[in-house]
Amino acid sequence: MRTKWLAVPVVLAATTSGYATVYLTVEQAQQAIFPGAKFTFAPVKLDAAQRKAIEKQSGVRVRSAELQAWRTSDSGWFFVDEVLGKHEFIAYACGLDASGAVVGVEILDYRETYGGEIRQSKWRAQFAGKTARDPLKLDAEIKNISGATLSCRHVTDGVKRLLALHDLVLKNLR
Amino acid sequence: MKTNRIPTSVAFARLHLLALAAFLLGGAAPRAFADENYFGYTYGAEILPKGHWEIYQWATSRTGKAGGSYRALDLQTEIEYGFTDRLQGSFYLNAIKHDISRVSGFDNRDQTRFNGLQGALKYNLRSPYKGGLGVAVYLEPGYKRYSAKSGERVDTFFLEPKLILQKNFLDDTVIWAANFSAEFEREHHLEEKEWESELELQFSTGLSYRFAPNWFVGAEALATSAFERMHLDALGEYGIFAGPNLHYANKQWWATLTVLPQLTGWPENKGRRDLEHFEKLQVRLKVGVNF
Repeated sequence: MRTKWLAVPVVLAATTSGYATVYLTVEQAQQAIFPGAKFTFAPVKLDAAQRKAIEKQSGVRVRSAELQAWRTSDSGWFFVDEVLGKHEFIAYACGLDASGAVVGVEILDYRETYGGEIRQSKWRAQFAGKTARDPLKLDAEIKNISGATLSCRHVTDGVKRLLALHDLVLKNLR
Repeated sequence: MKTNRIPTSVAFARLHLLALAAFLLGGAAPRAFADENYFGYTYGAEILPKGHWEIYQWATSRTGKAGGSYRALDLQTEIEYGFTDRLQGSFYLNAIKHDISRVSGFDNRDQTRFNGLQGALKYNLRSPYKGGLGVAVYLEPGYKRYSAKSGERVDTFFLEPKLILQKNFLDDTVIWAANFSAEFEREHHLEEKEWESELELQFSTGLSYRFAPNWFVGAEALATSAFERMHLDALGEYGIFAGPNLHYANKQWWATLTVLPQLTGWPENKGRRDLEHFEKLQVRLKVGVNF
């Protein structure tokens, strides 16, 4: 027995990619959150001051200055965003109504080992009606799922960041 | 100096390799894991979710003494189960290989042996994913049949409590962990028909950064010491190791590789190092797959 076989799993790791589970397309998520609505693509680009203000209000890091967003026919907003999962990114969609309250959250793409329970409608329904005035804390307004803590916290933080984005940047747009 | 070989022990060690191969080849189906090890020597505070199983294969290569040729390989196959979302249990089977030639103070030896078993309970007091300090406690009783250093036949019964701390930073992309452990040992030297007691105190810590999806890179350090007769005023030896580590994980499995050269040790017998009780280099690979 020689120690050179130790290298085998590392080589295999380098050639193995993770599984991606795509649950919803963007169009499917749009119709799930805003049934029957029409959407106009309206990407958001933040300057440094806006990023800083969002981070200050939400307490969540703004990882990207650009965000995929759509205006709905009834003045709502639909976002496709990403948060860090344990190993990869979790893609999710969030819809806000014209007042900035959450209409719905959908998980689009989930590649993590554990924590898939965040797709359960009961867990996602906790966000409905939440606004930038809600503290949106895990284990308080949003219940945690044991074994899925990291995913629950990061998706909660992502929604909190979107609420701050709407409150500080988007709500006054015409 | 005689050379020992026992075919059944070799077969046992081969079982470890077959188990490892099964893990790697078994990755075709989507699987899951949570208590993945970011570090080779330092445990994290995570717990396997309730009702889930995980299998690990550990391999630790220990090489290099002051002279001659010294190679040891520790193999552990571990199975883990989440009893609750806070409590997990583990069971280990161990094998050990020694290939020693012309090392002062050691018998020449080329042998592979079944090296006992151990169990462990790990209880999570606080999750590292809620923004604060993650904390877990760990208790591991076990039995080993051979001296890790010399390969001599020694029955060792031990109990190892451990405190595990973990703090995550930058959206959980930077992981810091530290362990404090005390291993209480009773050793029965079969040839001398003597019993000895020893206390091993260990501190290990690691810092790892997620530099790309699925990949972490970092460094780890280990300080280990042994006290004769379990008396804190009877230090027998200590060694300090530090080096890089690399961790990969995807939805199916994970692997961690840590390379730890000895930086310093006592009593010194080769520069600033203790190459009688410890080795020049330790390399540990862990592979984990869940069910």
